[in-house]
Amino acid sequence: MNKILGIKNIILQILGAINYQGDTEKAADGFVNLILETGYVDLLLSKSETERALIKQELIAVGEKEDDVISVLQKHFDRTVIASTMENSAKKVLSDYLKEVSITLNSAQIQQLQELFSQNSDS
Amino acid sequence: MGVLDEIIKKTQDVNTQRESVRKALQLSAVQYSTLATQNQQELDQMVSQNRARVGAALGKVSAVLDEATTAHVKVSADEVKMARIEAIKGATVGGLKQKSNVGRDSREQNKLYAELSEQLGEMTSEEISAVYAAHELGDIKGLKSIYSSIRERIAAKNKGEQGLGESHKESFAESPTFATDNFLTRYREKIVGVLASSGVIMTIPIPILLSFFNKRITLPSIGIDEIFLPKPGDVFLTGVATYLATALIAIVLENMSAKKQ
Repeated sequence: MNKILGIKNIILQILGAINYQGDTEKAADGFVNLILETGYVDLLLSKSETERALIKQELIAVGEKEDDVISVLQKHFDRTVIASTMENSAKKVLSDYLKEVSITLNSAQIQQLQELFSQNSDS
Repeated sequence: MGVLDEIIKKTQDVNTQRESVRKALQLSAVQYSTLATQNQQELDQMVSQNRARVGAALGKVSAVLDEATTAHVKVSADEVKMARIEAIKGATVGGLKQKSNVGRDSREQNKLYAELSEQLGEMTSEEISAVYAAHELGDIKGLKSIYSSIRERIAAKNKGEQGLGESHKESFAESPTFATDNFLTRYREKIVGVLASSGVIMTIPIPILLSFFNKRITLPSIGIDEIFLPKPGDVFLTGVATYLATALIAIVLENMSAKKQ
């Protein structure tokens, strides 16, 4: 299981715990996309406007070739920063979501979520 | 070769022919004039044909433009509708925040969104304006009253063809499914807004972002590459899960405290 699939797996379990009635795969992908995009935006916003403009210029120059796009991004961002940004965006998106959904949940569903996180946590 | 080039070439050909005929045959002025007239008629005929061709082409362009204009008007109408929805949603948040007693109540907000989404397609522009004004003022009572009258009007119009029953609708608006869908939509809108306002952040397709974040990460806590694993060794996942476990407790406590108030 890779990192993103791991997160998607947790999201699928969250959706199961809250008894989500829609298309769970689609919703889980929606969350994953939000995490990716939030991470990307946060990464870019950590740079100055001048640097962002430069990155944009370089991205336009390489078009949508995956390896070239990734090379451009890697050139501008420290790998540790990339990893921690991703982790933080996952925390941010999912905790924002919990804030919103929690008021619609009954105590059994909250309990299930707590158990889910405890099983996966390191404490 | 373009129409103009053709005409110029033909004119040059005619002049050359005129000159060579006149020189070769030593024609009289009258004879030459007759020949020249014939050539002129030929030229006129060609210009006339070309005009017809250009006219037909212009007609086609005009038809395309008409079609584009019609499409544009349609898109604009849709855009206006979307802008109204967004304005109302934005105003709802603002309005609800102004009312301290409901400022934190997402449930109330979700109910109003559900009502709005369901009825917007049926609302007249006057009703939309009234709803917008009430949202902007945070006039929840007024808003409910407007929705109620809209509901009655639609019910009367459809004579029993109304969709979901009221209780079902309320319970759906309060459901985790609705809250989840609502969250996904609004969070995405927020990101799009940040991207648009930043001006210099280029959108990157999701599959590339996925690849970027997924394949090229060093795990900060242990400083090595590509450790994508199932539990219990997945530091990334455990970090997120630990954080969420704590966050959930705080959220539940906060909700309880809000209810007491």
